[in-house]
Amino acid sequence: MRTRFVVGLMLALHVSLGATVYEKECVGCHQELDVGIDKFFYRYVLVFSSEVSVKAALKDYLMYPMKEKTLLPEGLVEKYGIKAPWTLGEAALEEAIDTYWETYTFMGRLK
Amino acid sequence: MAFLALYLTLSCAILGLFGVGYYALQKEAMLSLKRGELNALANEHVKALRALHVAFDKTQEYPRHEAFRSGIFDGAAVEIFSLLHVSPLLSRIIYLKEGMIHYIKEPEAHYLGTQYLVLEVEDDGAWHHEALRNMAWFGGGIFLFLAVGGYFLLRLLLRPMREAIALLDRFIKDTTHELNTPIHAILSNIEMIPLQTLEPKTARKLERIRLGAQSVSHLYQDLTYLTLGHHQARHESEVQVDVVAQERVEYFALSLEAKKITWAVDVAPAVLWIDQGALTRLVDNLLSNAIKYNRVGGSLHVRVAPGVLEIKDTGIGIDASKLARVFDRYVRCHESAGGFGIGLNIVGMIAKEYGLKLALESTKGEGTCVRVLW
Repeated sequence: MRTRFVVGLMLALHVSLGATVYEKECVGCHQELDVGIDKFFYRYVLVFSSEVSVKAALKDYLMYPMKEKTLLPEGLVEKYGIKAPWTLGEAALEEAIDTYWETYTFMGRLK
Repeated sequence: MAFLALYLTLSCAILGLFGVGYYALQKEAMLSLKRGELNALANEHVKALRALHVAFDKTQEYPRHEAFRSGIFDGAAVEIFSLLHVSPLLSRIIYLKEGMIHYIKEPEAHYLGTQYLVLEVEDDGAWHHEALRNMAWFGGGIFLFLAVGGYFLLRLLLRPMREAIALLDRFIKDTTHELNTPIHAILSNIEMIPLQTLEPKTARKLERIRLGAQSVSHLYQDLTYLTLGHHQARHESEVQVDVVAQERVEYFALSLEAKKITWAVDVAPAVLWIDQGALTRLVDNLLSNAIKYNRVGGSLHVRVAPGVLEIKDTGIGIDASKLARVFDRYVRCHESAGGFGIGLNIVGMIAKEYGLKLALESTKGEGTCVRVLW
């Protein structure tokens, strides 16, 4: 029992230490929502098109979230409300957004 | 002929301009026709992009079509995916480039991030061949019409001018011919008068009359050469240039004395195959200039050797900038003496006709040396 606890603790520490900002701060929360995090990406691309515009729009919304800026459908906004502003600093946010872009971008994935 | 050539060149330029305009219009018409067709295909392709955007987590297969190739670009003109053979110009709507027609559509939503959808089809070139064929037929026809019309119009316009020139030409020829008899009468009568029996004052007056008559005679000879020279029969033979030079200097002796010019003739036997009349005109004109533009009390040196005739004066010289044009007609290097600027032109014409080389050296204020080489 004791051995199992130690192994579990070590595993949790490894995951926590090795995970990226995006994985720690974004993926975890979005797993609790009905809509997958990838769908938000497609929605942003649909509206803002280019990498620069998408990243700028995401950064702006995550730092200063407002109802007027969200791309969430009305029903989801009412259900989950507007998220709290990002508090981990601009650099960490940019890193998370870059990872998000790299994960879901259409570029290089079309066949 | 030069006028007709200019007229036809201008006609060609105008026709060319119209041709370029017509070609551009045909190209625009073809693109306009293609635009409707490509827009319908683009709308279909946008639907396929929308479907792929929605189901991207299931399939990443880009939609392809047999009728065209396509490419998608984002708002920053960065390529998302492309099957195009030629890189597109995203700022335009439809155009032809490197044999490909590109149609650019901006979908209402950025499916897959698409700001610009580019459709590419090959241009079959049918419009191009038809445009060129039409241009060749119509352009050729119009050019032929303009050429024939222009020729007759030109003849019609130039007729009064031709008639006026012919009239003037006839008048000059007739007048020139009529001048011969009185000049000869004056000169031969003066020759017959024994000057030594006259009073010195009368003798001097008579000398001046003879000098004047000689000048008119010289002018008459030049006019005859210019107006009738090309129609007169030539009698080429081996002419003793030294003898002709000696004779002509003696002929001008009176003029030389009148200007107190000292002269020296240094001749060695030299033969040239030429019409004697033409050689006389050449020597006379060179001597006449050497006297006319010499200073009072100057000197004249005539040298003849095999292959060369040299006439050197101590006159006012010719400006270096004018040396290249001295043999042109009506070009006068000095206004200090009378003349029409035809003397050296005649020299040039004779030299050209008989393949003689002319070398002219002149120093302003020091004199001129003309060499005729053969």
